[in-house]
Amino acid sequence: MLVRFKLNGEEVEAEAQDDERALDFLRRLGMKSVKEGCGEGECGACTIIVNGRNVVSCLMLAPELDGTETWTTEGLSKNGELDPVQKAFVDLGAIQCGFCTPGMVMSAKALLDKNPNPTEEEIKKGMEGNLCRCTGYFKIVDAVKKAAKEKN
Amino acid sequence: MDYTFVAPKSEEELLKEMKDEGTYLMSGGTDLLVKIRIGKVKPKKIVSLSKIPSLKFIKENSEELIVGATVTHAELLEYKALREEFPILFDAVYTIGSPQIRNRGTLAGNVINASPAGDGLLALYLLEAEIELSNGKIVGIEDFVTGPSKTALKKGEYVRAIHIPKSKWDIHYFEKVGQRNAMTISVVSVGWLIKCENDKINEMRMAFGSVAPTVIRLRDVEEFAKGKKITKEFVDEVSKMVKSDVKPIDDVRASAQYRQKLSSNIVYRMIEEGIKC
Ligand SMILES: Cc1cc2nc3c(=O)[nH]c(=O)nc-3n(C[C@H](O)[C@H](O)[C@H](O)COP(=O)(O)OP(=O)(O)OC[C@H]3O[C@@H](n4cnc5c(N)ncnc54)[C@H](O)[C@@H]3O)c2cc1C
Ligand code: FES
Ligand code: FES
Repeated sequence: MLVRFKLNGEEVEAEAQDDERALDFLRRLGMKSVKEGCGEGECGACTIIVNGRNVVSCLMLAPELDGTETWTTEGLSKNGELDPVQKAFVDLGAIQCGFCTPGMVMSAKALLDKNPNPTEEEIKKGMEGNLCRCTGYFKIVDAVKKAAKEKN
Repeated sequence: MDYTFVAPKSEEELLKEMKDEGTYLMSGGTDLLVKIRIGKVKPKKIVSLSKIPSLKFIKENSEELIVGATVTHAELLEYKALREEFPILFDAVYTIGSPQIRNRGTLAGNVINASPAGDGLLALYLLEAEIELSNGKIVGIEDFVTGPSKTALKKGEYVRAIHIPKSKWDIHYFEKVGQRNAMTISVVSVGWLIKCENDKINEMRMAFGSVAPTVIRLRDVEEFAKGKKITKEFVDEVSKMVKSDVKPIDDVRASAQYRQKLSSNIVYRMIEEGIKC
């Protein structure tokens, strides 16, 4: 099926298989920030933003992207400048192996776009669908707090 | 290609598209796509409901809240009146999965999945919701769910909406027990609603999840509770009844015995949390 959608701000038209996951389709289009961890909706490594909401691309079919506005981490930096969320993750060392990071960043962005001033509890709730095997989460929560401050 | 995909734009088109053998409807896909991945279902065709405007609505009248089939958990939680008028449903849906799952998964999908661990489903058992089918028939939630992953839906039928009667309760409680983190399914889930008269229980509803083939209501407890005060002695009695009512099974997450013990202990939350009429 021909999928027409807005990917990271640009109109894209690409042929997808009916049974192809959005995850595989986006990676095929070069969006390698979209990672496959569990493939079952539990780890959040494949998180993208579709029509303003963070969703897992492993439990979504490519044809469902038709007509949407979709963002991956590739679309966040502008003119070589990192998005405040990305910058906060780098600055605070909230990244170790980095596998979970693009998904974390997308969930943090979706959270801050809806709720620019989240409490610590709201940050934890907003990030509960993203698992990290390395950092122990403290630095990730701090990074989201910092990004919120920078943005305001 | 394992299966084809279509997204009809109206309910008339949907009825035509769902005639083929091996067709599965899909809302959020958070249950269906997992089942396909593990080989539990093998569709020939997936019909997405997401492009049908007439299934995406939340309506209210003086008697009930009506939630269309494709309303996501996140959209429902954002509906202003939900927290105030249906706090038990708010609390239960708020615990489902993660933001990503709540952004895609739907209340109707949760019902049709008919899991004994369904959290939205448990709240709907307590609120005595009714399911509106495509042929206009309205079926009570307990008649709709006929077994684990089994519903009263017949071939060619689909769910159009969920009707939730309005009712006022003085006390509401929902808890998932034995959950390690947000993403693991709970070992046992429980909820209750209480109406008080003076300092006594006038009416109580109690439901458990993951302790039987479906979510269950404990009608003997509900009957027993009428006219009682919430005291330690009362809860001792309730706890005994719960222990004999639940029929859990062993699975990878917990043994039957552990589930039974958790279920009979969890009602002591009434005392621990100082719940009183
Ligand atoms: C990581 C993860 C965590 C989860 N955590 C929880 C949790 O904590 N609590 C919980 O209760 N559930 C949980 N779930 C299960 C699931 O997300 C929910 O049951 C969700 O509500 C299902 O809705 P859906 O729209 O995604 O259903 P779908 O997968 O789209 O559909 C479910 C079933 O219903 C059928 N169907 C869908 N719509 C219709 C219709 N209108 N008419 C007829 N048939 C239809 C489909 O064919 C399918 O068989 C979790 C799932 C995942 C992947
Ligand atoms: S790969 Fe999608 S949630 Fe883990
Ligand atoms: S940094 Fe390695 S999984 Fe999160």
